[in-house]
Amino acid sequence: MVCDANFHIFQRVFQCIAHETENTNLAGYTSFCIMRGLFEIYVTNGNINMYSASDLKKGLKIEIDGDPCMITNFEFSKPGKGQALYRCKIKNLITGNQFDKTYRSVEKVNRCALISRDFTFSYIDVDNYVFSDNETYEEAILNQELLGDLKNFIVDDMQVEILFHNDRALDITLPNFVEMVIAETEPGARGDTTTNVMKPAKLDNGYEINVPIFINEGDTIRIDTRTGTYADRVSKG
Amino acid sequence: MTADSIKLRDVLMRDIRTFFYERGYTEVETPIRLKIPCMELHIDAEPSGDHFLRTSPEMFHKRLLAVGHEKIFEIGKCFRSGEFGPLHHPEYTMLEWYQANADYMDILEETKALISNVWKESFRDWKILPVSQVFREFAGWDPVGNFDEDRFDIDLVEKVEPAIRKIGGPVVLKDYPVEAAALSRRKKDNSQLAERWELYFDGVEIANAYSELTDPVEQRTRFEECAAQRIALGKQAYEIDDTFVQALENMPPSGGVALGVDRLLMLISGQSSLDPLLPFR
Repeated sequence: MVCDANFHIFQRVFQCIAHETENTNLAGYTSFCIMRGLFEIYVTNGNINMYSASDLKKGLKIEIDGDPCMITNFEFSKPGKGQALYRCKIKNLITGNQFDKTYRSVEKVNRCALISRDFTFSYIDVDNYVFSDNETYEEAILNQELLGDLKNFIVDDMQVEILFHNDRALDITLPNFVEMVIAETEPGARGDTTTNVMKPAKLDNGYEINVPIFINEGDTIRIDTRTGTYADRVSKG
Repeated sequence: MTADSIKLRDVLMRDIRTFFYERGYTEVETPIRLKIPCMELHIDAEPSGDHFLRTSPEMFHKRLLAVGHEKIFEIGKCFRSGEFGPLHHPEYTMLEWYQANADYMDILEETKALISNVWKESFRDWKILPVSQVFREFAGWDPVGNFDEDRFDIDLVEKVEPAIRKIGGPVVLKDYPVEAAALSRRKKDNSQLAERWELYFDGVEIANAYSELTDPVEQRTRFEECAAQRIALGKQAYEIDDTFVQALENMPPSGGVALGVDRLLMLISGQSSLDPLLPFR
């Protein structure tokens, strides 16, 4: 990171070189101007891609050592006559590790560029789920470990949103509800659609779910993908 | 907003004033808008037109001591730019008092009396710990003679203050490294230490006291160094207040302390944040 004070020193140096080379060495002067332009772009981008420590707050996403992270807790602290300190609890969004970090007010923190894109589910390739970008048809491959329980609710042609950090898929959002067929369950008590009594059932992918006792094998139910629980019955099998 | 906090504050303010009146103190009023704020490395004054809002009444109190007032106190709003958190509010109520011909330990005795008086609870077990000792014990190094500002501030917040919170009750950290002296004088028998203490209650810092620096030459040097450091941090350097520096020549040796009234109120009412006590926050 180039701090403002250094930037002014660099500018001074550039002025001197420009003055010295302008009339004596045209080729040198030209390449120098290109270098100065690139430097200024670097400095400008450097600044817009950073937060000041005083910009930090709970919920903000930042980048540490190349990994996307989120501030899960934030506390302003200023001891005695000392400097302002920004004490953060941070979660690494890739590894899930939580750690504490204290920033001084002069410190800068990298911004985290997260992009969300729309995809359609295509097919399963062993442990990987393959999706295709709705606009570019580019493929995104998500390992089933990243999907966790959500993998059970992915159906053909499902529309999903995938969150990327520097082309690395971080998270997936499914539609809130998905319709699935009950593959296996004990026959239930007929007609009783009012009680809250639940019983275990299985989907054809093996996912176990609690359903009301009136649900039978072959019934289509709606599942809330956010909680992985039964929502309602769509139709009888 | 709680009606309780309004009433509690009213009682506290009356009790504080009564305490000082009974001890022969004069209540003073000093300017809130200043041409030149007190220069401290990490305290930024809020601009107010072509003036600044005071970050502390300190410099005016010392000018009053220099013209012969011996026991003075003031309760009023002070302003510090950018300080906001559970224990910080950019506009807060400060109690500041000074006594001529006294030092920081005399002021500590008076602070103890004030706290017991207004809290209506007597705290017998005041732990008075040298900064050097708490850093060696809880942070594993001694900042005295080996000062590193960033390490000092971060370890204070991450290691020392949590340890003090665990000790609980009133804890006084005394004898700061001279680099963190601010406006306090050096100890006569050890020039690496400054006669400054900070009072913590359950790990919350509520007061800061000095044996006041009365040497105009050293004060000017400290202001100049502070100005250079502020510029290096990209902050505005304030002017040096010549009237103040000159007044130190006539100032008797004195002890002084600043106490955060909002935090005291927070502690008395058993809260852990200023939120319930600042109704318009």
